[in-house]
Amino acid sequence: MLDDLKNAVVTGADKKAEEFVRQALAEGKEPIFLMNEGLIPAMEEVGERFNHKEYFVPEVLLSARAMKAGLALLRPLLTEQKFQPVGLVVLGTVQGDLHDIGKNIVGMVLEGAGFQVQDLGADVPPDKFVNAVKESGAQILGMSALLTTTRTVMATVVKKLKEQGIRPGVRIMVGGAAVSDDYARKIEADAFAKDALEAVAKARELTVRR
Amino acid sequence: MKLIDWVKSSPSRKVIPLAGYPGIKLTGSSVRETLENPELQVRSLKVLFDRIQPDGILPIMDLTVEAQALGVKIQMPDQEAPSVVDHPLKSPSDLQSLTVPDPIKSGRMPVYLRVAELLKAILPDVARGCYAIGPFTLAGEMVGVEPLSFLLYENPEFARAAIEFSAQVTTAYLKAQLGSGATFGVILEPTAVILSPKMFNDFCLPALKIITQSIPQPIVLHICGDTEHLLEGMKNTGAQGLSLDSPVDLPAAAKKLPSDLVLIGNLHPVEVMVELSQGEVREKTRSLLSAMSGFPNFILSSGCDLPPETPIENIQALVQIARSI
Repeated sequence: MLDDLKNAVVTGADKKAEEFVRQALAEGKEPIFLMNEGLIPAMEEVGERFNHKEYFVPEVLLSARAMKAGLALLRPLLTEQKFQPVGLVVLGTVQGDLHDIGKNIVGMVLEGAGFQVQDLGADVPPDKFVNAVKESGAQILGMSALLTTTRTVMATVVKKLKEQGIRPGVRIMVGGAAVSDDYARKIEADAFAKDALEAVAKARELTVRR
Repeated sequence: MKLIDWVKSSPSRKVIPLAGYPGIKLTGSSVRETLENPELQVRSLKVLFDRIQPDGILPIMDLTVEAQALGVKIQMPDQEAPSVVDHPLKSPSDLQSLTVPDPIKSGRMPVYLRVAELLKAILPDVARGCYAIGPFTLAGEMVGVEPLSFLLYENPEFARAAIEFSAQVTTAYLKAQLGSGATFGVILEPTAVILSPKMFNDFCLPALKIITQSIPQPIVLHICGDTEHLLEGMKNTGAQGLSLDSPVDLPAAAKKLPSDLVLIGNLHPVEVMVELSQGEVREKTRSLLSAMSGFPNFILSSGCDLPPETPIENIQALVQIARSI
């Protein structure tokens, strides 16, 4: 059954994924078990296929949607059982940039991995990032940029967080085709993630380190 | 004249940086004015051309012209490139109600027709390019890239219809600009980078062929980002040149691709052209030229469009090195 669920997610069969979760819950399987042993490994497999250039963005989107369908059934139960999210992540694509597919996938995969995600959308000005971090107490701020011309917004956000004394309390992760490991270091972010799979791994590291 | 013949027509390297926006700051106009006023745009292009002296000139890159001409809502900030903010094409019936915009009177297409006319008048002996958005990218603007990605799997007929309609829009717009005085066309197809080789061949390739087969002048295909996985597909589109971005290993690509297919690129528009000093730009240029020295089918350029703040001296440095070798 777990294999069926994983397969449904990996092949992007969202109705099947939902059905398998429903069945499993009816059979008494624990929601946290289905997430940790079903949905998360399935998305990791998707991430591997993306790394090996077997899956591309459309294929990942289909799988993420299937995972989300399964997760939608699990989440209310997890909340009932008082499961604490692994951490809170504020996400957004920087001001001047409307590209959001990658960021959306990161958000979905982070939720699948047990994080709570506040997605600010695209074209997000620096102050909006800063205020969201302040107000939510998020442990992680994730910023995305596809246009190299807009990535300087990330440096501005880091600067503002420092100026307002909030920088020490939050870990900053950056991603998108416009940035790199080098760039992350240059702007004094805490991590660069090249894709959603790496984003989850780094987010987990960054939450533990606190 | 075929693009490869033009490239080989002189022994020195051809150089055409994708430079439009950097010239705007030389005229004191805003980005918005430059995109709406053909005389202002040409003035800015000419000032830049005089400073850099490249082998070819291109207008200001704008990926919203076609969508706007189709009635899609765009936002045009004063000092930034415009963007499409709505994706109204939700169903096949929406597509039925669309017609291919007439370039002489739709949206800002007439601006670019006039730019092509004026450039021909003032620079008759220079290679003059024109831009049009690629069919997959335009379909993505109309439908939304995420919904389009799902459609490829769930409603491929609708996806294909939207992409083919977009190809007709591009064809008409390119033909009109070429008819107004441009000498070659450049298809801007950035969204295609998200596709697997199979999806590119299934959906994008047939649409691109529609365009290249309808137009006798040389067409260059530009896709931003890491397009290593698409090079095979791109070579079959009928484009006479491929404009490739900085993540692509250009010499390796040149080894695999036909020797009459012109490769164009690929210095990083920001990490090299904006952020490095003139001396460092010269070094990077020399490296690239050296790596490509065995390949005559090459035009030196930036990997993608140069941002407005690119120092003119850096673009000059790039051209000077190309001339000196």
